[in-house]
Amino acid sequence: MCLGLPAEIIGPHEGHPDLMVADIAGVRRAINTSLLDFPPESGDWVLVHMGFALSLMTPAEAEDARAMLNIMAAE
Amino acid sequence: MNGAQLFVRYAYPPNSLGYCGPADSAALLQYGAAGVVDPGLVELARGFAGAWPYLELIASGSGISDPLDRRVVEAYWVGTPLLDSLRLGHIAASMEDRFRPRTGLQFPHLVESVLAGGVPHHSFHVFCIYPWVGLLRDDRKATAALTVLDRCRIRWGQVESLDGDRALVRSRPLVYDGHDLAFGPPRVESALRSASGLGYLGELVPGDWVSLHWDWVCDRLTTRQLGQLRHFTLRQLDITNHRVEHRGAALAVEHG
Repeated sequence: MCLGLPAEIIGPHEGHPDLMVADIAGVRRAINTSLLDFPPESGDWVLVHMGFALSLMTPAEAEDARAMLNIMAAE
Repeated sequence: MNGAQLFVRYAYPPNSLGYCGPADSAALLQYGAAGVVDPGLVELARGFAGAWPYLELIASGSGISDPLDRRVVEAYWVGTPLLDSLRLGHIAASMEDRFRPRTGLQFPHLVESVLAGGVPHHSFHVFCIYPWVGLLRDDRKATAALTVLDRCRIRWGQVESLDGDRALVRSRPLVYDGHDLAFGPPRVESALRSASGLGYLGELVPGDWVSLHWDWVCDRLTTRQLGQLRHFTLRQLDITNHRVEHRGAALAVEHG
């Protein structure tokens, strides 16, 4: 029922080396980055689904995705 | 129980984990615990951008005006004959209107799944739309993918015992043999039925059959509901295993 969400990496999470803190639509959450080929860095954008970062996104792709989500929220 | 309250029971578990829906999961739990339905709850439900279009599709296709009508909500989460009453043409047209802008490059895959017999049941979204089935073929990602698929589908099990906020439930998890998804041997899992005493289930007793979503018990199931949930889940697994191709993570919704 849930959609992939763009998230901006804030930094490492203290709880587990696979976890990082990310900003998802203004809310900071722990996400699992172990499925990415390389660990993301602070400021990177990733596509998050069910708590896992699945791929890196360019800032433009993240902006497009956020715009789509805003349109859907306004419907 | 009305449809909005039933929606809360199934939507709260992933919402509480931050996976979907509005940020205020505490409000959703409060609504569920209080049994209240008001415009605030309807707004929260509309904020589930993944589920809401399916509710709209089922409602419009069956001549029901309210997407939160009990018949619609139960059809989406559990499954009812209402799903088979939807005309293929309506599903296809509705998918075009409601899902093409939201699924981008994944839309043809969605249509393929509908033509293979998919209906707007939650299992359709989990197994046909999400990227996780495609990730099962990647050894490095298969374990995580199988876990997500199993936790995200609506599964069923029988209560063995109760302990405070938790219930021990016997159920059969998904397994993957490298080709097909199936159900493995029964195992007992610990699931939440309340948080610090706050919940929406009421009385549970050992022997009850229940539905589960992520780490929560959602609802007690009648024999009819148990049969329907099993029927629509198995049907979707057959489509997933044998009738459609699955691609990889690049097809995640909202990206591409």
